[in-house]
Amino acid sequence: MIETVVIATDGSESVERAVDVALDLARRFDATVHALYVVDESEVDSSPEAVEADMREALEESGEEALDDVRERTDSGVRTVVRNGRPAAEVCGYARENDVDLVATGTRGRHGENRFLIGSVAERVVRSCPTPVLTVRQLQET
Amino acid sequence: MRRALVVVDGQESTKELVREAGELAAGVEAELLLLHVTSEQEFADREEALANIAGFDATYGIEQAKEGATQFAREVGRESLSDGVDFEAIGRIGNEVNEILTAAEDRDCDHVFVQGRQRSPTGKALFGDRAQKVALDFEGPVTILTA
Repeated sequence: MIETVVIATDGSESVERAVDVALDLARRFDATVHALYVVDESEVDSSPEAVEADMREALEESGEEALDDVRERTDSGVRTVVRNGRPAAEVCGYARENDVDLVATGTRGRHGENRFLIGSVAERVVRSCPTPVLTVRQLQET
Repeated sequence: MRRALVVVDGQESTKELVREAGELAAGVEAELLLLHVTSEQEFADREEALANIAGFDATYGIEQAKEGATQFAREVGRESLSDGVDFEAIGRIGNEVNEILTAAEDRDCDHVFVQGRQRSPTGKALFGDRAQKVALDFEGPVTILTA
């Protein structure tokens, strides 16, 4: 049974189709939807000390936007969560803690990785998640 | 999801994927296609092995191999899915990723289920992760379950 679905969003275009598919599936199963954004601490750590706080704030704002975007696409409630840490580890940890049945994510990140390689976060999530991971790729711009 | 393609593998863990796919498909009343692909190498090995059996007369050609693959998919389906869950079994010979994508297109599937990173019998990760290739090529959703 699909009772709990988590949409792992990074706010990128890549995840948009995954959001729609996940919301649709959740609706069909009357499942609870969680939307999760992870503030990537390694991005914060790698910025100059003077701007670390700004960087974290900017990422948190991005996160809120990403989560709003999910909320806006559905009439049902969505539990939104922001975590800090390593994205893939946080996503998989969250899935375990919340007895999640399905994790949905995009295939690429915000940095426009090579289209022949799956993004590193998606790859790690797929590899380490205890649940099935639903991925949807971006459609090419024509 | 209207028609799901489920990639059936040779390990025990494949049953869990088939079960999960079956649950999802049942919930949305989607059709299920179970696909098993025999690689060209496996086919060649088997053909050679059979040819070496003294007195063995039957020909082992592509059609027999395909039928074998189909049978395998069918058996896994029967073992993994609840009674009353309908599915169609398909067997193919060739490059696995190509056969998956081709079958999905030919049969108008809108969702693919595949196991994640596989290990060869010697425990090495196979080059060029199959699931990722499918996820990057197939237009629809690809659900990956890593054992």
